[in-house]
Amino acid sequence: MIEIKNLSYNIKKKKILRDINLKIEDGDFWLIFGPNGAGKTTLLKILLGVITDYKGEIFIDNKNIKKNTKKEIAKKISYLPQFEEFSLPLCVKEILLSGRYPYTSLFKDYSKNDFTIFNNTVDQFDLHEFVNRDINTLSGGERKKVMLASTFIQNVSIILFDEPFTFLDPEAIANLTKFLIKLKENGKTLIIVSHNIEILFPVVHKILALKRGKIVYSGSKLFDKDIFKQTYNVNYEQLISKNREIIYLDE
Amino acid sequence: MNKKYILIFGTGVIILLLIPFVGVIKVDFNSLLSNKQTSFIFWQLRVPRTILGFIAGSSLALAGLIFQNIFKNSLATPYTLGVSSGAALGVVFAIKLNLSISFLGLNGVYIYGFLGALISIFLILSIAKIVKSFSIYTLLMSGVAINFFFSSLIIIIQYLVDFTQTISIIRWLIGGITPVGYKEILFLLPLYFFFITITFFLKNELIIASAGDEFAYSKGLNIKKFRITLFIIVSFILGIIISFVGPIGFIGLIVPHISRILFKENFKSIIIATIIMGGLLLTFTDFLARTVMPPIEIPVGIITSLIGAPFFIFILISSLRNKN
Repeated sequence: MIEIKNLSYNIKKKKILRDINLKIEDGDFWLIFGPNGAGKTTLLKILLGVITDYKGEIFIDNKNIKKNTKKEIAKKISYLPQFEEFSLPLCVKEILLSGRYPYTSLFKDYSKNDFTIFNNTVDQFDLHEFVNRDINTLSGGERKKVMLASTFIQNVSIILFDEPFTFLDPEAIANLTKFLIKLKENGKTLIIVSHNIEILFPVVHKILALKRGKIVYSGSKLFDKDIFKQTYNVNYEQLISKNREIIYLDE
Repeated sequence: MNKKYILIFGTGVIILLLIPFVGVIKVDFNSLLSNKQTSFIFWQLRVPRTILGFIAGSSLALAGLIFQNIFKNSLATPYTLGVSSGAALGVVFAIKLNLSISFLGLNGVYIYGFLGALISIFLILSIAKIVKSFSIYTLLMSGVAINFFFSSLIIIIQYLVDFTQTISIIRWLIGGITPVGYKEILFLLPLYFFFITITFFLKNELIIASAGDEFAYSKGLNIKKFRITLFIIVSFILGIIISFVGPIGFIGLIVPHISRILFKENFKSIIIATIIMGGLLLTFTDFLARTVMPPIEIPVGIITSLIGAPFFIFILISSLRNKN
């Protein structure tokens, strides 16, 4: 369970997040949406422990995350960044094994058990043809699959996704959605930041609408045209209607 | 055992064993046992020089590999990060002022090189502290700026000194393996083994660091702390190595790159290959430096770049061609 209490975060004088209060129960599937610059990614980074100079308190399983080591956090939370940046050649096998890093220590390298989990995941995700390849030679969808697998290997209960659908073709989007549903059924807590609400509304439990660092709505109301309009300043019909052309021209 | 391994290890051992025998004065087994002068040249000059070459070459290459990983940039080398020019400035300063303090019986020049590297690190970290960002961008950019600044200071000092000092400064700046005794080797060996040991201990962290900051956090590695700590430790070691052999820039760039191409699938092999090939490259080019135009010794830095650059371009072209 994640509990966020009175969370605020400023960069210099710019307010990025203002007074956020939120409770995320185990097994919840949250969609966070809102215009660019609303503070969505910042919120994820705070949960992950990348940003620490915030005001307020965050508890994961009733323990303040500031009192956790980074490895302890990584045993509970994993994060899939929007862009995977690999400027150096890097073997897929080593990316996958990194998922077991939280379970190692300075004098304890990856164990036999870690390699068993690694092998099982490679089977499960059907990654045999990729394991010895440089990640940079993989397609966007394949790369996403590898990153998902590395999270899976990490064996966390909470997974944060930042815009997971960007740059994916329809088939890869379908596969990812299928995978998310599977994770949901396995009882994982999922928090997804995405603009692709039409894909996600049917599968999530709860939504958090953010605008300029403030919560517009949080709860289980799921789709609501007013919330949408308030958050994005756009009528939802305008985006999905069959007569979109006419609506646009009318304005 | 991998074929590539055997090839690298094999040529390595052969080169290292043969090098001390060849030179202006040829050494063979008979004269080694019977001739005092030959035995002196062999044991007191060539053997320590070969060892120093190997230690320095592999340290420079390893430092390059580590910097590339923690800065996620294949151009991040001791040279571009300002550490080399800091050490160079220290040494040049010492030559100019004829400073000669000695430390534990070692030549004072080394201490000034080390101090110079320290000043570089201090400046880079201060800049990062002022802007409150220890990002790759900040560290790399301040490193590059300091590199330029120190290089111009070195040129100013060169103008101010007299002719003979200029020559020794230039010679040192090009880089070369000066004759050392076993005292220096004994001083460097523990440092060298420490360097190699921490690299192997931190290999998982180095892999994660190269995959990006967010990836690192998500896997539980405090990348900022890791980057700063390793940057300081490696720079310290570099400061000492560079004061012995000069700022030989190319090894830190070329050797890790070739190792990555040869051993794509395993970072541990990349580390081993970097250590061995870095050492071999410097010992071998130093061997060429003293044997190509005897009795003149060409500064080894020239040969490293002269052979290294075209070879590197060749490797680059062929690896890019395979990719596309």
